[in-house]
Amino acid sequence: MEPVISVKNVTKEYRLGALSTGAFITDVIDMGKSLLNRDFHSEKEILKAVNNVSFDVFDGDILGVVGGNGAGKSTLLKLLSRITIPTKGEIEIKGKMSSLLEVGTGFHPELTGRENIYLNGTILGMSKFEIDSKLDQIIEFSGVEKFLDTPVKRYSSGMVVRLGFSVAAFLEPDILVVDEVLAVGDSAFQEKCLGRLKDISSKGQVVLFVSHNLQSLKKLCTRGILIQNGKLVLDSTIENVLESYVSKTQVGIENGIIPKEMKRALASGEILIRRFQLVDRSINVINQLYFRQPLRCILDVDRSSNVTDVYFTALIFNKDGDKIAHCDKEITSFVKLIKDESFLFDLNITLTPGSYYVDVTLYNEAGGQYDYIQNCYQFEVMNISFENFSTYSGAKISGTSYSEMIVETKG
Amino acid sequence: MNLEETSLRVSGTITNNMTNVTKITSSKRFLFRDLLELRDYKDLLYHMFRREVIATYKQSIFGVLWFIAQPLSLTLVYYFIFTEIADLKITKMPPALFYLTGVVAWSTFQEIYSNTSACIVNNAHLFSKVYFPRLIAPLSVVSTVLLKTLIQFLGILIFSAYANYSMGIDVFINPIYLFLSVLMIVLLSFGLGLLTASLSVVYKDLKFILSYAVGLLMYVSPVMYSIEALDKKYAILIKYNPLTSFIEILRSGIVNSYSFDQGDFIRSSVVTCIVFVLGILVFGKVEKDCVDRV
Repeated sequence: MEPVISVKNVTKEYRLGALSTGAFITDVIDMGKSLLNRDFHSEKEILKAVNNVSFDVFDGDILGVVGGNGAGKSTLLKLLSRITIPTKGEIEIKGKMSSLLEVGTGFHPELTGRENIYLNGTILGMSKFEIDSKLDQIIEFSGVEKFLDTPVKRYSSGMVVRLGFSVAAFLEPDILVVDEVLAVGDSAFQEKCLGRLKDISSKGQVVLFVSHNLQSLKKLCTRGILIQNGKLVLDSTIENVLESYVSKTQVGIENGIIPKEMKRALASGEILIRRFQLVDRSINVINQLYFRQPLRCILDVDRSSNVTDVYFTALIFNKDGDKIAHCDKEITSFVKLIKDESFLFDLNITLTPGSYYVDVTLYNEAGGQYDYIQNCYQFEVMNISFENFSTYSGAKISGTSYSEMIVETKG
Repeated sequence: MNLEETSLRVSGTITNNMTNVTKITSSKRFLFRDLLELRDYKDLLYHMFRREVIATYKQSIFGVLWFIAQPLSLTLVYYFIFTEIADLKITKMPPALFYLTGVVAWSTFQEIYSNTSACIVNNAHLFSKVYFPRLIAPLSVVSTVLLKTLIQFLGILIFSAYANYSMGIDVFINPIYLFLSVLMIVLLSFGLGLLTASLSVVYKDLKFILSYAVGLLMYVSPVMYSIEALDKKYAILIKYNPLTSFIEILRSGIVNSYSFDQGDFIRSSVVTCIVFVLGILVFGKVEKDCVDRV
């Protein structure tokens, strides 16, 4: 079968640092320098956001593009959707493609909902005729009928998102590229959108889907590719790809220790996580713990400025990528400060036996993120017999809260 | 895929046949195909145009009347300063009509130029999220300005009808001259704007220099004074400004006795066409990866 999308040895390079285009004068000086010295732009200054990637996509495929922050997924989608051109290589696309890298692209706050449907639809590549014929469905899907002739600036942000997605949902391209747009909207609407994406692909159209939401990737996709450091490392079924993604510690993170040189896509830099590990009572690092053993963790941070307003949240996922627990300040109890930059505390939840991994985030009261480490630490909760359990000292059993504290894993 | 499915899909998607192959390569070469692609996006052009117009004039007191108020007020100011105070002589047509035509022509040129030259930076967000032929953005700007110019022309026509009736001025509307004038002004400003937009993606400071330089063009154009009022040695300088002939042909298209130099017009038109084609070519090259540079 002929591929619908064929990506051949595609590389996209970005020059790091000042793009040397600050001003005309400095550029002339740079040009002079580079004439004198051929290697003026050394290899170091070039970032290969996408590095020699090749793959084919066939009719009916729903391809999930998986990878950590800064792995190059979005750059790849930008290349596929013609937003920018590759440095090397070639992409061949058969049929009409629409890309959805954002919901409601081009919405203008002064225009009414109806006008924005037309504007957004034509931006996404629909013709006026196409929109006319789908207008009723779009309006119904969005659920904002009442406000159609109201300027969008009076809409709630949720309504804007719903309207934006509804337009996109009725695109009928041969190929649809979707980037993380499902991260918005309430969960009912997200379900609706996932269903719509499934419909599209069942008609034999191709969908390329990038998301950090492993659950929706698993539900939706048939195939997956795993991208790391701009390179394609695995092209297989979505299950294999997700498993490999989850099991692989993120670039450079070893057993909860985050190297200093690691790039952070989502960090403001004032305070960075250096280490996150589970420990036992005598602060020895452990990867396995017994059922109902307290989840005691140690967190080392690097403060570059004197920030005091720091909150901590650990997100616990099971091996399938389902989020199991969200441990924020409500269920985290501070144990002690070892040093100025090292904290010890307990996560007050009970996990059933199984393997888990943790995402760790530091943020301030206003919700601004200081640092976020995905897949920071893996650990296993083991089954134990009741005797062992009762001899385990220090566990405080409260009969009433037991059932509340136990957290069931799904499936 | 079996036959039945295939036929279903073909009938379902009229324009999107599977033979339509897009190749994405590292080549920045501008192809004629890029221009043909604009046809598929004519609906987008219309809705971008609508967006500009509605966004500017919604919730304003006078709405579209601003189109007329602006040149009229400038004309009044010029009339007061140059005719009443400075006592400059404008002989071939009534001074007010002279200023009005100059102001409309200049503001068309200036607005198309400045909006086109900002089109990449202003639409950077849109460009980084979705693909469409980038030329649509400046084209929508041009169409918005043209709507304004069209309404201002109606004002000019009304005013010249009044001049004909009450002052006995020899008004004779020559639509071909008017059309040529507007066309050339648009091509020149669009071409210059595209060149500036393309260069300012790379060199941010060029935008300031160029828009300043283009702003100075007004003083070497017959907007506020007529050529014959000038000394010979200065008149030469002004003749080399392509805009001069386009403003002159516009006036000649309204008042029959107002003449213009045809040789100058042809020379200016050739220069304008070169600038326009150059602008399209350079923009076509830069648009391919402008998102990485903005």
